[in-house]
Amino acid sequence: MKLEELRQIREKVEKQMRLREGQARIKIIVGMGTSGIAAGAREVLKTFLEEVEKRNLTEVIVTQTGEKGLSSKEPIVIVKEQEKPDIVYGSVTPDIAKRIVAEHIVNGNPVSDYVIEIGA
Amino acid sequence: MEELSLHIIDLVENSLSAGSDFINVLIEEDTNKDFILIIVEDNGRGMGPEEIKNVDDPFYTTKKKKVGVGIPFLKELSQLCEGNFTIESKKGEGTKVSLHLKRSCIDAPPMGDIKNTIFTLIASTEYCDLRFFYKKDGNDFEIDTREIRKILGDIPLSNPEVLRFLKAYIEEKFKKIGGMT
Repeated sequence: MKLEELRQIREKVEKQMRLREGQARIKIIVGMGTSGIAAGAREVLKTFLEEVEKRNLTEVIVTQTGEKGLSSKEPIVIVKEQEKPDIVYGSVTPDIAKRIVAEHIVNGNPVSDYVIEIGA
Repeated sequence: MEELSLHIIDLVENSLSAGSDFINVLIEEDTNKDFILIIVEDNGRGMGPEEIKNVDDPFYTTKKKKVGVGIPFLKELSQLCEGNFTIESKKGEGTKVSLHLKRSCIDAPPMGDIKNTIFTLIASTEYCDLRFFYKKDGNDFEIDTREIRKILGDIPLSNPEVLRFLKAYIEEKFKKIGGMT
């Protein structure tokens, strides 16, 4: 495989983006500070990336951040959606990450059991 | 943290919180020469001599409220494993952290899932570029987000099509060098 193959992917994705006129609508941010990593944040991040890939979620960006200062509730996940308050999840496992994608990202219903903060 | 690859994530996170926009990660494992070398180098805000002294103190951190256990642990580990640990840093220029260990040391944590560590970091680092150079027993593999972004333009690395490609790409390169899969 060559990185150059990404050029075709770019053309394809740009075509799709023109059709929808959209950029990323939702951002999923995984807290990757020391305690988050120790609590399994890498597996959670990996699960989000896998779900985005499997479900073909072109309007979602998965990214990461350092410490959030809520170490008893790591791993922390923040879902940012345009024109909606940020939703912060705590104690997220790969299974809960899958639920967040299915219920919140795809269907628009936050997984309330694991919400620890609703931001501005 | 029971894997060296998790400590690599931790070091990369330190570089990210220092405001770096490029982080260069070098990982080398050699069975015959019996060593592991990890270098994480960034162009973040760096530290002055006073701050570097404080880094060894587990109760010192510039981050809010958190106790920094990462660096003292690695330093101790290098002592236990006949290696060494160094931090070079210049204010306004960046920081370079190097860890050298005897690979067969019983106190050395396993490298762990380095393939997925590289994949997740590459795919999820939005505002910063990352280069990984991984060498195992003489065979090496390199991936650099600057090169990827040059081809992709504005398309995020966590786009599903891009993810599929990156996953397969990294998988293939790892197979070639006989790294852990």
